[in-house]
Amino acid sequence: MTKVPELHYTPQMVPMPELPPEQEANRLHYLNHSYGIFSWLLTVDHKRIGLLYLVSASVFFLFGGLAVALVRLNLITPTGAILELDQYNKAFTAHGTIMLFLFLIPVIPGVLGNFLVPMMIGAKDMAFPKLNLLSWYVWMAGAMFFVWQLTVGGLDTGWTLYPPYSSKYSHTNVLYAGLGIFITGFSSILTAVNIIATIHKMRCPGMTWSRLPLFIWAMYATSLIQLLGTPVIAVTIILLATEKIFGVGIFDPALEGDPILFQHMFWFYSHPAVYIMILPGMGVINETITCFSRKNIFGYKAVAWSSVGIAVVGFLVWGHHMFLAGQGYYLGLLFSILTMLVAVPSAIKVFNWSATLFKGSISFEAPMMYTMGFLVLFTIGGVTGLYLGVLGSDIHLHDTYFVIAHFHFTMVGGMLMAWLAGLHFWWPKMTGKMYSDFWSRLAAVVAIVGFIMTFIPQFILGYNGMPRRYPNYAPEFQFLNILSTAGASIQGIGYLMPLFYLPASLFLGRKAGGNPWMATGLEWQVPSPPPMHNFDTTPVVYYGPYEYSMPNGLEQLEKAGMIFSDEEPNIAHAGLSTPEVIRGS
Amino acid sequence: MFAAIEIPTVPPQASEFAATYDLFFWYITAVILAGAGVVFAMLIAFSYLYARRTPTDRTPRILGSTKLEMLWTGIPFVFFMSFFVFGFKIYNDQLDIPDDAPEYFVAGKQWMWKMQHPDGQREINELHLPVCDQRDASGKLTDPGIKMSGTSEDVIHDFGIPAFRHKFDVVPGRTITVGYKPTLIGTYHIFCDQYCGQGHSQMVGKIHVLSKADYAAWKEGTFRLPGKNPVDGSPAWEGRKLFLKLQCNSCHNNEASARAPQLSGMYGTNRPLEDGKLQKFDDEYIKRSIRNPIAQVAAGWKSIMPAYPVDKVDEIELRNLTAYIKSLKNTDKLPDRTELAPAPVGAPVQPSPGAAAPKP
Amino acid sequence: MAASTMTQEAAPVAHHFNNMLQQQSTVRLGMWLFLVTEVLFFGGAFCAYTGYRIWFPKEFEAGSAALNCGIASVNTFLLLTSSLTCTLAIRAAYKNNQFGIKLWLLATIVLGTVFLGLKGREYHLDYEEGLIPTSRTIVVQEKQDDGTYLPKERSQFAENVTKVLKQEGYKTEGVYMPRVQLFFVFYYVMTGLHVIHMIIGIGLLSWQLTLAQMGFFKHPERYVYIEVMSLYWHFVDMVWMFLLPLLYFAGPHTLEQAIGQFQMAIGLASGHHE
Repeated sequence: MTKVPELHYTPQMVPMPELPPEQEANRLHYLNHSYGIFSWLLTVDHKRIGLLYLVSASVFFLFGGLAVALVRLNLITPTGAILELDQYNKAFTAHGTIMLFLFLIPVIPGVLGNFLVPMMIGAKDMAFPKLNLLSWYVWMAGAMFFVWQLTVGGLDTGWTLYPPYSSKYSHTNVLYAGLGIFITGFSSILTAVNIIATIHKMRCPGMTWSRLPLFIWAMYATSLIQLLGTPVIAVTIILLATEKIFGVGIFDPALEGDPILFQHMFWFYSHPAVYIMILPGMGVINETITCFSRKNIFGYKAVAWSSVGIAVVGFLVWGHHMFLAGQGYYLGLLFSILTMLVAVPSAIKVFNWSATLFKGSISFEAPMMYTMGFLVLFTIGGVTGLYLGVLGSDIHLHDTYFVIAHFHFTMVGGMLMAWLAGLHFWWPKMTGKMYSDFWSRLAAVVAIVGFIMTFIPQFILGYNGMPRRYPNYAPEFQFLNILSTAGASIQGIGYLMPLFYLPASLFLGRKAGGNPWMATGLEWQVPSPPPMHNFDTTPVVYYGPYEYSMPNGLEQLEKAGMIFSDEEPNIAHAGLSTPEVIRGS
Repeated sequence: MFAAIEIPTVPPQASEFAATYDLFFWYITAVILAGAGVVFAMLIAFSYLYARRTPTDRTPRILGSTKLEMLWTGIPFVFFMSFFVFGFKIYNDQLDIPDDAPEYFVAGKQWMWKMQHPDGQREINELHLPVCDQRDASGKLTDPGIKMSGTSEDVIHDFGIPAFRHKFDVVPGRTITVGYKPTLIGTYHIFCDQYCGQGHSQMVGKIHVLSKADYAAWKEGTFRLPGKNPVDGSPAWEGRKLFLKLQCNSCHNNEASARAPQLSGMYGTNRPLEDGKLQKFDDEYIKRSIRNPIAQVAAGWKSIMPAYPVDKVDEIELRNLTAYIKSLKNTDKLPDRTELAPAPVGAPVQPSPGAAAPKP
Repeated sequence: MAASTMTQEAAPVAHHFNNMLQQQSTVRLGMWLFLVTEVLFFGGAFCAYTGYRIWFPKEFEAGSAALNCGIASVNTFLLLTSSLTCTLAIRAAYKNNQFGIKLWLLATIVLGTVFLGLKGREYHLDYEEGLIPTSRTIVVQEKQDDGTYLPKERSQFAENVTKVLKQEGYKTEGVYMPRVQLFFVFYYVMTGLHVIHMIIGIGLLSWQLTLAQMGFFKHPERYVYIEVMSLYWHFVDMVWMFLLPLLYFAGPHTLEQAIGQFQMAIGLASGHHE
């Protein structure tokens, strides 16, 4: 029997032993086993593909941030400080489309999903490694084409592309921009197929559905939504393109069409799309909050099923974007009730996370600071959504800055904070280096404070009626706009800081070791950076994912003669749920 | 640094719906502040109480509690349903438009709002409405309010009035009807609330809620906000057109050599007639002066005005002319003598033949 | 189910799988997941079509009556048969019948290509009859009640469709002709997307045929790749089975019409529809 190290938590599998320093320096892992640009561009290793996504998603995040800098600077004065009307319209459209399609939707599934899903379930790679690489190329092709279209002519329809404006009246590259988005949609679908197949078919022995880390549950739910929703936006773009190219009237009332049909089809994808964005973030929070409070997640089943519940009910609420569009009285009623229903699982999650902190042992490194920021800001974002989901209160707030504040609280205060939490949590695993504790905590504080200063004034602006997408506004709104822009500048600094200390850690940071955070997941039981095929022997899982409170469980099992960590276990029939190898929790 | 730092807090409650809306809004706010407050209190308390003390702290193995799960599923659900019910009720109430409400019409187009009143007055980017102030014994509003039907001529716009807490999308190819019951006299914003292109932020306007009397006068064209013309389509507007068509301005104009008295600011005053009596400058006097001018000539002026019997100026036209003259304030100028027939460029301005009569 | 017992060595398993069973099972799941996305893709177009059809039943009926259902009927037969041949290819692969694999894959490709050829001919005939949705208008001289002629601007498309329907003997009273254009937009978009999927399918089948030629399927465990190919092909077939009634059966057609249209399509009869 292998000697199990002294632990004050119980990992899901027997940890791989750390090598002594002189062997560690020569160890081959996924970063150094091959060199050269083509070993990266033609890799099928899910970890390298995750890093490819990391670099490209970060670049697109900067583009989106540049666009919003233009927007917010322009809003300093009521008559527009730096941009013409057309330029402003292109700037806010660029901000919206880039942030949504080229950052929020792909970032966690592409980076953390690709990197971690196989490791967390004990597999050697994703189900379809070559498809994984194709997915990245398709995404890059669509994204680069799209950004090129934004630069050579711009797009000024807003990310929502409503006809008849987008089909008949806009003078910008709607067609080609739509083509770019269409292409990136394929990447979404391929990634989703890969993740679902991997989770179903490639779990290691002992990894039953109820022992999966909640990040995996979240990625599974996200992939379900991507699978079902993305094709509908694809066909919607095709119909819009047909209308533009051939001058026919699918959505144009002058030619017998109906513009509301576009809105239905568009929002049928775009509402679940926001759940594609937030669910992976929630998945990350599960991992960080358990690790940094050293406690089991409160209510595993509730959190797991609420992810699936959000995914399912999220497909039934798209009409709450169209309460005032003329969709019909009974439809409005139905969508409003269902929206109230979809709010419940998110509330359950927030309460469960808060309860996880109870009687824990909490430390506040950067991942945890971002996690706490998430909890506060996502709660505010979620509850302000209630105003918008109810028929009566949406009338006044629709298409005002209230909506903008709401979705930025959930997307930025929620998802972006969760992404940063995840990036900082798994950075040592991905790179083997630890970043500066001081600078990372400072960046978190700056970002969160800046965020609050940016968006709380926008709730007030929205309630007072300031509409969205306005380059000029009524003079009485100026002070709040200036406040918001000031906050945005601070926020921007907070997001730029990781661009410095994270790469710096690659050269100046101390070596992180296999498990710097003392976490329980499978990915933490291998050295950092992980080996080429993740695990030297197939892991066998004995416990659920968050056994922080049950120290030395492995030792107890060992004493009972129930762990055989030297042998290759007899792997049960592939494709089926692996039978319980050990009676665990 | 700033002359006055203006922080708008709550827009004026200018309609009946606005009052109920705000009640609902603050109810939701109270509930969510309480709920979020519970969460924040937990986060703060736990962060302080359970901060890590040693690297090897032991924590209890708490897996969950079905009772708590049901509690914090059930309680939010009940509150969310209360939001839905309350919201649905006020949504329904504002959809309830009485049949006898007068019908107004708004058309949005890139990038302006065109409004039309039931009696034909037309406005662009402005809307004048009468206030609803009839209440019954219990204080409930009995005014039917107004009915507004809207459509778009090109892309989707949205007619939004924050002071009424109301907006609705105007969609090309469809007409949507809503109802307003303005309850507070004042001027408020109209915003376009659906992105419609370059001029989306220029597509703003003003809604003026007037007292019922002022509104009636405005409709006629005699009530005007300073510096404005009588509204398109009103009797006074028609009267002005007729004033020019009949060339009344060839004598009744602003020049020193005018052959006829000034009319601005005359309405309601007492003017001396030829025979020394004082005549009140009212509607009847105006009409008589048009029909049969030699019967009462203003003091100091020659009796040279031609008569306009009913075959030259019919009753409706007479009413319109009267409305126009009535609408002329002290600060308004009569149309120039050459408004319809300007002199050639460079021609000297000739005084008209006839007496240089002193202005009254 | 066990692979057939042959004396050759087992097929190599991909590096990230533990055994061939897991690999096969995963590949199958992957294709099913992809087909779910395709269902949603076509489903979106179907839902939009259905919405308009509920609102404008007369116009959609008229539009359907103007379609060439002779070609559609023959195409249906071809496509269903190709699904059969594709399934037979799986069986051949499972039984390690190399000739059979190539035969049935080729048969599927041929049937699919004939389908595409006939579909192309159908599009060409539609083009000749002027049934392409357009916003162009023409000026027609409309005879007034008093015998004089007044120029009126009419939709070009509406004129063309009226002419075609009159030849079919379809009564066009109460049908608002410009709206029939909506039906045709959906006809072209939906059948066009179907054609694109068929072209991709034929491409993949040809690739598999090449692989078979190179001996890839000498390992019978690799039947699963032909199975997922045929899953895709069956799906394309299923989409057609939905398109057929939605588009072609919305309006009335008779057997004589169908036969006449098909004969005309392949050049056996001359000139106009029967």
